[in-house]
Amino acid sequence: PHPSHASQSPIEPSAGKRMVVEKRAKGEARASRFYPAYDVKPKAKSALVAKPPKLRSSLTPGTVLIMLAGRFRGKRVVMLKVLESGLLLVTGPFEVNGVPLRRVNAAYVIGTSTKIDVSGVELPETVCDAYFKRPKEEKKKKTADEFFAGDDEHEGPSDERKADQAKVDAALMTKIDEVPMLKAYLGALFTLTKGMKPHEMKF
Amino acid sequence: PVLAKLIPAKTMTFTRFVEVGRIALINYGPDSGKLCTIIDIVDSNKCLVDGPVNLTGVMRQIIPFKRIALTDLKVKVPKNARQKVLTEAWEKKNIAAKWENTAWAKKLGAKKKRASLTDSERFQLMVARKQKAKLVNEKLEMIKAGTLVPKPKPTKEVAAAEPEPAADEPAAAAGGDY
Repeated sequence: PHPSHASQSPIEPSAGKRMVVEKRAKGEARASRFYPAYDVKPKAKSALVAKPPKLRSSLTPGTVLIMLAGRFRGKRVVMLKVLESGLLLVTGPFEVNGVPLRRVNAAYVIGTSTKIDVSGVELPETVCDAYFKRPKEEKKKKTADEFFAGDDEHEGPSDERKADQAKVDAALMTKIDEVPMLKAYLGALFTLTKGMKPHEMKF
Repeated sequence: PVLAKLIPAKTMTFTRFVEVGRIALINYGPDSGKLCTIIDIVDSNKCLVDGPVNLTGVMRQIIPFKRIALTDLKVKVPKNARQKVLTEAWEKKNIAAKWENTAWAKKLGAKKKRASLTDSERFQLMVARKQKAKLVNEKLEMIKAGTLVPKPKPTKEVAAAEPEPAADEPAAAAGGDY
């Protein structure tokens, strides 16, 4: 039988029923006139499950990290946790060095040997990859006037972000104030000076 | 060596000799940084050396002179001394402690420590140096202003003489002449 009529049952003198081929929806691909040359197995859904992200051993929650690239390069920052995407969640804390709750790629970070006990620091449940993901903007064609009007002013961080930041930092600052000179250490920038060889240095 | 005894020490330009019992520091190779004792001389380029192993970790071996640096320390041991004899001689002279007290050993230790500092320790070191510099500069400013007179370091020559800064002060006060 012709493949395009495959959904049709053989015409049988069944009581009053007649099979009709469903009309093809607009935009749907036409049914092929030919069967494939060889038997094609239907593609089975992948049984692979994403494992939790694995990082180098120096990156544990509570570690002080040195940011190596981006807007906050040189800043010393506290790592809070590993997100599902494999990115690290860090915070300055904001009042110490201006780094907010932020995601950072582990490749652009040095893990130092300084650790803070962050077991008591509770992260809001909403903080995850989706929390940080930049919302997709619609692409609009600008008129000539709109083009020269300039971009909209950046709105500051949302109230939710500010609230979460304050909550996390408050808990973290109590831990930081316990250790002498830690606050000053986090506030200072990391730089390379003459004679410093990163591959020979201990962090 | 024998010659050292015949010629008074003050006239000798060399004081560290390659001799049986001389303690040396290995500069190069797998044992670099460790002390060893010269127990025999092979020829003009190399000597037989032993830790002793239980005290320094250097096994008995032939090592060229280019790889070692002689120290001031020496033990009295016979040629080719056994490890037991060497160990006794080291402990009698308390070589390990004597070495640790030398400026040389302290400098080596400081270098090692500096290389092993962590990022946080480096920061604390920087802060300490700044604080020290601040204190020093405060005193220096006071000396320059004349409000602080530094005490001279007591030496044999200066002990009898009048302290210098006290002599300078009236000169500075009367310095309006020029």
